[in-house]
Amino acid sequence: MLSISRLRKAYPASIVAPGQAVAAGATRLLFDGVDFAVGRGEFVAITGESGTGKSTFLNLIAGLEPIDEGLVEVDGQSLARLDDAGLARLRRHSLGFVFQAFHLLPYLTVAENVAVPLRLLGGRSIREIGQQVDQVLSTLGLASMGQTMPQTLSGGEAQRVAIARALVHSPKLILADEPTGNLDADNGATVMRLLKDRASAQGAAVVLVTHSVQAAAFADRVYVLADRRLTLQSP
Amino acid sequence: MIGAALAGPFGWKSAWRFRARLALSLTAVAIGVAIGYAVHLINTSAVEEFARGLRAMSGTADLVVRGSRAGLLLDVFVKLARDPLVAVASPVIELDARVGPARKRVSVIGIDALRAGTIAPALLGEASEQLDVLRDDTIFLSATLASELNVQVGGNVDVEVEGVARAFRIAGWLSAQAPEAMLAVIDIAAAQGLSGAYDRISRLDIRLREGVAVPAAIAQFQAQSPLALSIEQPDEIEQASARLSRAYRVNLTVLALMALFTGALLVFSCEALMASRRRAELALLRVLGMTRAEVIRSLLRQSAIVGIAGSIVGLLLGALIASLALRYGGGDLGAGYYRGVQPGLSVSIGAAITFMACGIAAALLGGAMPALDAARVAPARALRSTPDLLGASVLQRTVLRWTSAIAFLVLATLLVRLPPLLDLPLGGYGAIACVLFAALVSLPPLCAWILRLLPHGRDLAFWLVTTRLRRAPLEASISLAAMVAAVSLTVAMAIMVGSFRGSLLQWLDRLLPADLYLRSTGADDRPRLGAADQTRIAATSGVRSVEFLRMEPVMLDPSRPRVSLLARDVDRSSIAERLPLLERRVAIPAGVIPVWPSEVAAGLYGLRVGQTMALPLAGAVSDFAAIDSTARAGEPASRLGPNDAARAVFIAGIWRDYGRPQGAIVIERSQYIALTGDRAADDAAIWFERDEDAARVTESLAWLGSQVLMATPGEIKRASVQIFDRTFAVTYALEAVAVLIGVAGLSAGISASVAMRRKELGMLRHFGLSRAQLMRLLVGEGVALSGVGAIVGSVTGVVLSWILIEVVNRQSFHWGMDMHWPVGTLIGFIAALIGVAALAAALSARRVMGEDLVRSVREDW
Repeated sequence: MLSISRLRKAYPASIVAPGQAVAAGATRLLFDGVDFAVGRGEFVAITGESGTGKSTFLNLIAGLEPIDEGLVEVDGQSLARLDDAGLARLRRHSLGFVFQAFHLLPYLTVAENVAVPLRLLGGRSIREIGQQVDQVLSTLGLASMGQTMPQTLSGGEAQRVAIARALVHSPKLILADEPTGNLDADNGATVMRLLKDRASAQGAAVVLVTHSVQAAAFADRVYVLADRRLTLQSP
Repeated sequence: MIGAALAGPFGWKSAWRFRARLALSLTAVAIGVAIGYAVHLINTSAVEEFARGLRAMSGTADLVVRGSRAGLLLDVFVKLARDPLVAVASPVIELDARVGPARKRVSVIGIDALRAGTIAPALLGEASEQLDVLRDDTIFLSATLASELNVQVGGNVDVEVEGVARAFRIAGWLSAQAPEAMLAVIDIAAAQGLSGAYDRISRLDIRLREGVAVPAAIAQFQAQSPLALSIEQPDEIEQASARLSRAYRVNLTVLALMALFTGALLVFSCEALMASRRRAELALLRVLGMTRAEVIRSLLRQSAIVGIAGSIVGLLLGALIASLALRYGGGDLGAGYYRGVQPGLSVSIGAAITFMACGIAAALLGGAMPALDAARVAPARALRSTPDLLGASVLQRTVLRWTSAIAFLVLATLLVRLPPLLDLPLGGYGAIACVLFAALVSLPPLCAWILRLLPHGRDLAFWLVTTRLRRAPLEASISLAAMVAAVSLTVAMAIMVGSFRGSLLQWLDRLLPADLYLRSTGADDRPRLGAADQTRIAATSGVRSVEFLRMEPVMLDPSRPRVSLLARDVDRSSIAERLPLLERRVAIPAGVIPVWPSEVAAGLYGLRVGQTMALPLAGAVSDFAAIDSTARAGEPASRLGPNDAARAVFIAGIWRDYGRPQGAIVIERSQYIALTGDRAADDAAIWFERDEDAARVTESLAWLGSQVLMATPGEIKRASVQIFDRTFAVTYALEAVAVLIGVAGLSAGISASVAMRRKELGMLRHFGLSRAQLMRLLVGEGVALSGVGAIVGSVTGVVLSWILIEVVNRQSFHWGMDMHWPVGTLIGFIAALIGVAALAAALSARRVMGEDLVRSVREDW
């Protein structure tokens, strides 16, 4: 599903360390020779200290940032060979995202937020989209909240809606960036359980980036990002 | 104050983040103040210069006495000069002359230096040889004229009046207080020689003896004179002149102030968007102990600084614009009231303070609601949520909005019914403000309603755009406020000007049925077509028929300019073919003399069809109704005395006239001749024989000389339309400024909205929206937003145009017009506006996509 080999990525130092005095043109190497692979239905967690590039790693996987060297393949497609529109199509079809801050559109209802990936894909009638959205909402226990506006949701509910949005178009890979960062322990556990169960039921792989040991405990494998490399921590 | 504001909780660092928006607000206030102040300065300078000219002309005279347009008989001068009430009587002859080798058209005044010197010293030349002012072969030129002619003292200059030319020696220059820029003064005897009229003068300036009451003197002079006189006080002339142009000047100033109003809305947009972006910061300060009042004061202080700085810049800019306009364009802003007047800049501290206060008020008005709203937000909630628009607040209360809008509209309907106050359509202005406020307060629900009418497309970008605008109409409204005001104003003005132009063209078609028109010209207002000339014109080969017209100014109210009495070669049976009659026609009773006042005259003096009115002629009130037209025909005017003034003339109809803003009254020429004996004519309308050539007839009439202009209807129409377009050129410029401010407001709103939604846009990129799709989304949003603004602005503009046409125009100028829709212009204007909005959105989208949208998704952890 996801295959990364010999990944190398450097950034201008001013981006990596904003506000600090850096020489003009100076760069900082963030990843160097990273190899990483995730199979269909696998749940993998990446942990590491702040500033090591965990979120950036997810952006590289999603083709949202270009790599300097190496190979990144998602669903059998090499990202280096895709242009902006091709990358957008790949994300639309094959990827789902869950963010720490939920990022629900405030002017759309819960159901409409969940419908965004399906509308983006096209090819479905409004009715088909509605049925699909209802189905995923009910599997996540949100059946009664379809017409609710996001501002009235609790953190846990909002993240469940975000998970529904990440799952609704049956992506092959879900990238979750600190999905429990804004939640208490109970809500965090609930959200992680739902994410794991639903992704597994749909056969989607999950790459989770987190600081949370509890969240990482849901993963089949846990990697640590340190010194520009990924190291398998468990099992 | 600035220091306090900068030291306050929203100090330098906080404000600096929004420097572009603050600069935009400041610029909008500055432009609004500058335009308003410049228009005021130009108008004031022109009026003051004109008044100064009038004062210099009449000097310290208590009274100015005139006769008919043919002049004042010398006998009257002799008699009045000897009157015990009179201290000094100074005769003046005004000539329309051609001067120098280029035959430049110049006002030449003939004076009796000994008498004029005591009343109007500004008319006396400054000569090295004192006796030169008394010689009949010397001339004194104004400095401007001397410079134009490039002549020196001691040189000679030719002066030609109606084909009679004579050389004069330049004895010196007129003082700087001379009443006109292009003026020459000669001895009165020389002026009589040039004009050939030895028995008449143009006017008599009189200074009364100490202690003589002016009204008593006027009454006595009128009673003693065998011919009724026109006796005016210089102050009245000055007031009447200023009054004629006052409505135009006030309208122009109001229009200029609309730019400031639009600027206030732009300040509102910027302040609301800034407050929205600073929502968390404000909430934090509230949590840390800042009171609501302190929040309001801080934000208002910021608005006040914008207002003060903007006003100062605006005043300086306005003075500069006015100074340049006066230097290079003169004091006339297009309507022709002050054409040829070259005033210097006349700055008044009072006006500067007033415009500065307007600028500060505009900024405070713009900043007030966002400040109140920001202070109302619950801090805990604001700290928690994303920096979107403010939550439930006064800005969002739909019921309150609709109620306010209805209240404003009701008030507007009441205001349009008010009569003019101080001759100004103050009710109309108030109604315009109310309609604008109604549109602005109901903008959010209107936006939502209009967008609900759009189809729910399947395209994601389209869906997101329409859904967002529908559900967040407040943000859309804040961005749109300035644009809606500017579009309303522009649409209203376009419809009004289009209607006026269309009506003018229709009027010209109706009023110019002949093949050729002749018109007497000349500053001295003397008729050029005598009885013999008229016979010769009628007998010209190729001329089928001729209608002559005599124009005589008559005074109906000393405080107003004189109305033009038009004696036309028409009779009551054919009047409807010649005049664009407006009101129902009534049967004309036997034995009365009918008159047809113009719409303007009817409006100014409250004349109604079927009523009777008293009509003064050459200063007398003549009882036209008492005169048997057949019995009195051909009798000389001198038979008519003031004692004849007892009954009234009959108003048989009202007609539309755009040519005479002071008003006109048409009378059958046969009746006019019967009453006055005056057979002279000023104008003629000529119909040709079939297939006759205009050029050939014109050539045959060349003997009329340069004092009679000849023009075909086409030439008159072209010239009229040119004058019309020149008159409205300034209004177009003022509208353009308002539109620019409105577009700037919309662009700022779009830009702020895009910047505020970077995370949302970044998230959409994660979900698979390509850059092109994102661009399409944002441009679509700009188009939808401006489209809604165009719809609301256009509808509001149509309502405003009705107020402008039916209330403001009628009360200001007393003329009406038929509705003409400049559809092409409006579509072009709205398309251009939407295009600009799309461009602004595309630029904002490009800028935000150049930033790291992807990373912005992570900014909050």
